[in-house]
Amino acid sequence: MVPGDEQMLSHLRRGALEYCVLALLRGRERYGLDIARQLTHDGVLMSSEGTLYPLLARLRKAGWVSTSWRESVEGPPRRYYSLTAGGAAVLEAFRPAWKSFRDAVDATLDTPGGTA
Amino acid sequence: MTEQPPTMHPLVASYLDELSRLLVGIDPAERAEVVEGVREHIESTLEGTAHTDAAVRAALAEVGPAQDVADEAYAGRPGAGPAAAPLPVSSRRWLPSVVAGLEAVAVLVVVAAAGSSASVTSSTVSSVSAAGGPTTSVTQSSFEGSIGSGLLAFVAAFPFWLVVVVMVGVSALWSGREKLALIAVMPACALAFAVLPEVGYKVFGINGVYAGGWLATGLSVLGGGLAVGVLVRRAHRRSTARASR
Repeated sequence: MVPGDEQMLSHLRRGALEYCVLALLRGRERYGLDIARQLTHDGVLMSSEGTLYPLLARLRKAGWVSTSWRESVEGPPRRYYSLTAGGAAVLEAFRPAWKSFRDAVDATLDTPGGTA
Repeated sequence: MTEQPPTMHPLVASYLDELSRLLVGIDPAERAEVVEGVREHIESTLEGTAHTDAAVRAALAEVGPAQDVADEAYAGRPGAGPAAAPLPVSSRRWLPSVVAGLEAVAVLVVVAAAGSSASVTSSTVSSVSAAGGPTTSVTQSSFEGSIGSGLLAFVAAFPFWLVVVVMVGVSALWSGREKLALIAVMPACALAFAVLPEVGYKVFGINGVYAGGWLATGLSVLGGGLAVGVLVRRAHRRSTARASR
């Protein structure tokens, strides 16, 4: 049986999505809804906004993001997430790793024996 | 109408409640962090909107099924799942079935105890006319009330009910409201046997006592059975979902 798009994406997201969250926090703080909207706008990186929060909890526990409360002009205070020095280092290490992974997958898919 | 905080909207409260239950296997601090994050997310989504059912449903649809959020919370944990973090006893798969069995026994004990202590007494009074005429017999029925029967039924079923209260109370498979419903089944049946024959007698006389008794039996067996069946099936699904992660 051929797995559906969503099932394949779900497998592919694992391991990459947390680095995408770190990338979104590079140079600016964001609150949860803001991050979620960025990740779900095309439905590729994330399908359910709520799944962001277990991921953020993991990143915070690992010391890669930190949280702080900020007043909001529209409503109650919001929890903002920012990249820590450790998170920034992890993100920089991910870049070359991702590039070589992506190139290897592309090369394999383009190999005649790889698509048969 | 004053605007309700979105968290207080029953749909949001129910969603967060379900999420919290699904996250029972992870560290409490992390569970609280995830639930709080989702709650804030929903509040932010609903900011500046009228918190109508449709708006709340749309916001919850964007958040996604609570099961998806819980799956993400359990993902990425080496060895996470039943082997590394066994389900607490209060969430094991056998618990709903045991509760269902105890509820069934409690309700049957109520029906049997209330039925055997039925308080309609019939007596036949024969009288002979002074002139030596034909003997006339009159059957008289009297009803001594059903409050005692209901109370007796409650006491008889109490030991089974007490175990139900403890098991349902400690289990994480039901929400607060569902727990109350499960705990209320046996007292409600006993109350039906205490009140319905009494009301029947006041309205229809002796026949009303029988009608009230049968109605109480029907409500206990069918209504109690339906309520317990639905709630136990739900708990069984939740327990299976957790165990399969």
